[in-house]
Amino acid sequence: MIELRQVTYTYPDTRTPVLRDLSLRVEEGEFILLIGNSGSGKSTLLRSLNGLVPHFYGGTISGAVRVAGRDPFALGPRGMSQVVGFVLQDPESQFVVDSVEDELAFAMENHNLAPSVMRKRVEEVLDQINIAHLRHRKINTLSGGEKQRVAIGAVLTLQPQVLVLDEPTSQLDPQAAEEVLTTVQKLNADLGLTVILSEHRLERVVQYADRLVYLPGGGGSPVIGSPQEVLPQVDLEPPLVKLAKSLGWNPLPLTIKDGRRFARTMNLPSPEEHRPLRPADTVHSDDGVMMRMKNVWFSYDGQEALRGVDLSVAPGEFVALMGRNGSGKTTLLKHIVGLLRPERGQVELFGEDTRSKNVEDIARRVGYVPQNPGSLLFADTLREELDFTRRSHGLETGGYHDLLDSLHLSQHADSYPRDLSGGERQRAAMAAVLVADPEIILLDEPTRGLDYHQKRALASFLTRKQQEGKAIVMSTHDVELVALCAKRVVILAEGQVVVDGPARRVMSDSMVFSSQIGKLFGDERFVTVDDVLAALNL
Amino acid sequence: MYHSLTWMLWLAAALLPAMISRNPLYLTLLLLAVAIAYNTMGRLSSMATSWSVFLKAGLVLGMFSVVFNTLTVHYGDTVLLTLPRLSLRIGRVPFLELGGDTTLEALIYGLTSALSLIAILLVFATFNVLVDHHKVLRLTPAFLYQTGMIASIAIAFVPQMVSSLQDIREAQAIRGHRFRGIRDLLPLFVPLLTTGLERAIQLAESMEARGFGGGSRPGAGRRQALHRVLIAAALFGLLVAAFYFGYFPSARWVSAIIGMSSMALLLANVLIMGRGVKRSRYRRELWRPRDTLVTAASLASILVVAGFWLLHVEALVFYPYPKIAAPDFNPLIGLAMLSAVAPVLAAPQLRKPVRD
Repeated sequence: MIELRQVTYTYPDTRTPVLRDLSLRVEEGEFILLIGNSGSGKSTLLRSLNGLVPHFYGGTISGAVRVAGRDPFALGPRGMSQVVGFVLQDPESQFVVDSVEDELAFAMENHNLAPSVMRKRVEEVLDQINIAHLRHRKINTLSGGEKQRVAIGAVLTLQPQVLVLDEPTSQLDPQAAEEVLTTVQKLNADLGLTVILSEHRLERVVQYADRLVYLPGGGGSPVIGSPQEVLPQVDLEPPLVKLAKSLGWNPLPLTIKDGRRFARTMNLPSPEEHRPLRPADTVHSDDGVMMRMKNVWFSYDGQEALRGVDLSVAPGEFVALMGRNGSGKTTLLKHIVGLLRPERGQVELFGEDTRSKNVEDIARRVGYVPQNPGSLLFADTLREELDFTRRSHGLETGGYHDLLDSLHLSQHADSYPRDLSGGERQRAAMAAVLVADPEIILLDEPTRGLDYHQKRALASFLTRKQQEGKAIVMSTHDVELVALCAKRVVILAEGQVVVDGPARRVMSDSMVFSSQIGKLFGDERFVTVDDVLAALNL
Repeated sequence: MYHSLTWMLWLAAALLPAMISRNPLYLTLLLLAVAIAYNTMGRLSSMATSWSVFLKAGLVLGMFSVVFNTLTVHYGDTVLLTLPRLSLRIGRVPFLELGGDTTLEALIYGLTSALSLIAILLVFATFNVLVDHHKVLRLTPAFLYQTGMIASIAIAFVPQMVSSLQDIREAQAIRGHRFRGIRDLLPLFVPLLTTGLERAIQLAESMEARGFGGGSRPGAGRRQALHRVLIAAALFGLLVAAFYFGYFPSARWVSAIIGMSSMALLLANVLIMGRGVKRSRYRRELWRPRDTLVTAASLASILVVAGFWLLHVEALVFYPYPKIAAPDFNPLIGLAMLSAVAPVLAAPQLRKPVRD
């Protein structure tokens, strides 16, 4: 179905090729999962399948690609659109018209299909991906998962033979991601559609994939094979696989269900024999409290977002805020920095009511890293970016060598921040906020689009900050990140705190808000790979 | 509830007298009819809040027109009161006389102009509330579909940009950013621009991957060029008609003939060019019997108003100077004004929220 022969591609204005002598064959009806670190060329490879590379981006390309017998380099994206359906990662920016049904028809209108054909295909697609109930809805009223499903539907109406998805779930919460991936899996299983999908969070998809393609980056040759063949050779691994590899489990388990079979045979020490020594998970002394919310209520245009939230945070605490989209996480964070003021109740920062202070004063002691690093970065170099923050807070410029070092950004101090890779940009934004040395650090979804390495690096950086006595409050959907570094978990639902407790206990109690290892053992001593290995003295 | 074309004609029929009539009786009737249309149909729309904005704008502009006309125009026989004179000059040339004799005629003329202004604004406001903008955009002629598409995307882009500007502003504020001068715009503007660009690139990729932008017939280049020249000529003709009317208001026939023939040329070209575009349309709006009714009413109204304008323009214009008299009333024109309620009369039932 798809064949790449010795494809080499270089983007314009760069010297080193992203893809070098890449060859790959994909059979009809296969489900291929494309993995690799950020910047390894996954998106480039996917875009070469429908001619966006090189037609849209320019650059130089050699070698040959055939998809269903057609040549995307010759035909370009328009010519390939009836063969390859292409879905992008951001559900917000790939819609052309305002209603679901019109969006589904858009591609067919471009191809001048007869109205009767269009009607029939719209009905078919609505049923195939189970969105018939959304047909009359306006797109901006849909949830993220619904939007991604509509985006898939919008390419399916041309009846392509190949479905290409570029990190379709990276912007979604776990429930929405599940929704999208099951849809893709069903299309692959029921219609025999060939699927090629790239994804960072392997644990979500690896069980659906027939084969894995690992791109090492820097133009190295790919590793291709079944998940069991590829995963042992590469260092991108979900926690379950990492544990299995460390313990030599064979065949490699890909799902929790497979993993339990091995876990049952393990000889883990009992709680009496092994009680890990670690600092107390939460601090609940009243005197050191930095931030205290008392019965906080807030609503947007009559829609209640917070309903009587009580929460206090002390120095050296690391709180993970979890819960569905729309449960009030971001609203809560914005109350801590004073961007929003409670309608009822109060927020005290360092013993003072935030109503009596302006954002300017609060910002000197509280740092807030927004979801999208793009909303912060504007200067010509990273150095200027950091100096800007320090100047704005009335601090002397310079003196951030250690910060850049610990975020592995030293070599980029003079680079243009927007040229950095996704993970580097995320860290640059973090540096731009933390350079003012705030006492409370707030993070909104810090791991979107980060790979396993970047995530582990982030976790250890944050842990160091916590040990320096900073209080950290982080809203996230990423249970693995929480398992790695958070000490306390607060779960919000419909604007109320429903759970507030030590991270380990919460994670071993819950099925949804739990890490892979947590699900595997259901024991609060074991939520990360390191916990298990330490217990076995490995 | 009605076809977009029906609404377009309704707009034309209501706008025409609002712009060319200066008779308070007709204008009042028109306002009444439009208000009824809004009240029965528009209030249920999600856009209803915009109506009051238009209304307020109309009242403010209208008030200004009344005050300005009363204070600066000194014709008319019925003097109400005499104010101290104030002459504004540029060099030695006086260009504005304020105060002096304030006449009832000037006041009435100001009021009539205000009525006309309010009527124009409210006709637009009602149209705006009642019509579905995306459906109207779909009426763009086939060969201009790319332009229509861009307009439609731009409409969707604006609220997205507003919300990302809000995010950027908040994030920068916590970083210590204050707004003190032009230079401080940079930390807001650059992220807004770059996030907007990133979004635009994704959208462009997604559109190309779905086959957008191809589709015109190969080898049609020369004919297209001819059509473009003809369209330009037609637009020029419309411009000439407008200017001719501006300089020779009495020569209405000449400007009407130039205007109409240019319009016909324009429509013919648009239709022929549209056939060259290989692109189908998924949505076809339904044309119902009630559309025919409303359209007939609108056309009749246009015919009456345009006919009077060409043959007997005095019937449409009320001129209070030099001495105020009661305005004329012609029942036929009055009926034409009331055609603006036709959509209400022809509508099937209005008790439930309208979703079409």
